[in-house]
Amino acid sequence: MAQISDNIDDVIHRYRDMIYRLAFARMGTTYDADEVFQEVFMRYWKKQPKFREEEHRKAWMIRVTVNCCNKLWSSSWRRRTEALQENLVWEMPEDYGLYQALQQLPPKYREVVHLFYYEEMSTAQIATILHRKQSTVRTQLTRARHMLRNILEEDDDATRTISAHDAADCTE
Amino acid sequence: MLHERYQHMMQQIAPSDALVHEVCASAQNKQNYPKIRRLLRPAAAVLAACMGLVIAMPALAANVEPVYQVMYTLSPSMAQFFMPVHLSDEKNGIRMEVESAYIYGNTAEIYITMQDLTGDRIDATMDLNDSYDIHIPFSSVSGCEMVDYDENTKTARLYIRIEFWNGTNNSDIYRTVSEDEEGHTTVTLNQYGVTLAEARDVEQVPDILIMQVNDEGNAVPVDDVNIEGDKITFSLGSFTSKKKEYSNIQIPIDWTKVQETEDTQEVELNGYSAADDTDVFPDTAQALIPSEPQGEFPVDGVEMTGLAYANGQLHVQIQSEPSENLFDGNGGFWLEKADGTRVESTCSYMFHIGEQKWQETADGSGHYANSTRYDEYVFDIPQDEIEEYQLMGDFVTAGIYVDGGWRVTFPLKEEK
Repeated sequence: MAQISDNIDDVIHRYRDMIYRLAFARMGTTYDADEVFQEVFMRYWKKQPKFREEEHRKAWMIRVTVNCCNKLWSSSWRRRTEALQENLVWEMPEDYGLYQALQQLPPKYREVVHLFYYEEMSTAQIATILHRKQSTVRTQLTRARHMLRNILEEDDDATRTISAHDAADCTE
Repeated sequence: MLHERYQHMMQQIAPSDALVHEVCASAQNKQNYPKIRRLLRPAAAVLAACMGLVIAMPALAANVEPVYQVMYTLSPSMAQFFMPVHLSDEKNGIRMEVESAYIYGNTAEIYITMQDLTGDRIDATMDLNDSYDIHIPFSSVSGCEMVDYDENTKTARLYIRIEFWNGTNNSDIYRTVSEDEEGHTTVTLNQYGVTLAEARDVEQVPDILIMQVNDEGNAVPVDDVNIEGDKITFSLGSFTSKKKEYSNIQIPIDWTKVQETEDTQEVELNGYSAADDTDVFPDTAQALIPSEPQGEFPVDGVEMTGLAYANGQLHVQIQSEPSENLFDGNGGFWLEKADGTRVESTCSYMFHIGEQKWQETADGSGHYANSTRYDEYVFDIPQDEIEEYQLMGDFVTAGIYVDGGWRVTFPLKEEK
């Protein structure tokens, strides 16, 4: 991964989609993703951390995004607030079905699913970045996939094995 | 494949340009880094930008009261359209009045004032504490924030913006974009397998977010929706005011009396933050068993109930009573050496002891009944070095909590 400057504009534009999508995956609404997005860059700006490698910056961004999601998820403000109905528009009915199915997963599973299937990280990388055991990540991923399969019913494609993904997709 | 399906779904999600622009702009202006605008959730302005609403200005309305200078300050081009309403509710010696409103198409902008008729309980630090509610008979996005405070009349002015939003219908509408062999694009809107609209050009079928399904089942732009004639009820359950900031205060501590303790208990956390952003969010933590308040704590409504080493880490515990309404956890402790070296807490967490029963009021707000709030800060400073440090703190507390349950219902009426 090519190193970018520490200029915050460059950092925002490099990581905007990654952070927003991870926050959305974890929180389930664009409203919460909006808040997490702001909070992550506020923390980045406050700390202005230095990284030797871009991979480290990316890991920091993911870790902080997960922390901000946890913070928002548990905030008393959130408990007092009725969840807003998300009004997303998807290109395909299948997108909507998958989104709905994902919302039924525990939040911790959703972030693992996202990092595995979207960020294409290996279970070892996910375990490192989330400070979980690799076996825990594998278990969560397996359970999530099983739950998704049950929810989606007709989904016969959720058979991609973790080991195959680790070997083929995540070693780049 | 789940892999491709997930990627396809998630690639449709991205931060709005308005949000990115705001964060970039705020980062450049370091004095004003973006604050999370919780009172405006969902942020109507951002949503409006996402929706790309084009609002047609109505003809200039006459007889606008000249008192709304704040409106001219905030938005001169819009101020002239606001019309007086003057409907009010009075409870607990405080009057809430719908001052003026501007209704146009699918949008309503409203100014409401809060005035203390008997005392001095409203000031510029007034906080609605998320206890307001906007009840309207149609799906909408709305927000409320305090925009002005008049010192002379002790009046706070609130601004509300409501936009019609076609609620859940959109959830079942799908947009399909296809391209034929000649490169012509066709955009189709489907709901329950029925084609609602179709066009050969993306421009002809605007973003579905600004579409709604009418009674005939056709997709029509939301701009065509007129909310005039509906009624709105704005209610406010409570507020706090007289906020007081304690900045850079020194907490006098005799470190020689601070000892290692094993008197800890596992508590269920209601809030947690870690300074290094690397800790996994825990559900529980080991906290000091609260003692009787230790000495005079220099923050009103807050007492220190624990100060000890546990498992080699310094724990500082405070308690806020009688309710968390007056202390919302803003601020915290840090350690500071004489040369200015500052050490932040490794983590801090908030928990309640007691029944911890969330008691919700009619307006949707609430608090933990029969429980006491505790905040605990944990520092990684060896005990043999602690005497080099001074315990410091920043806190924000509210001096007054006012319960009222004010409510005003008024028609959304466009002035002709």
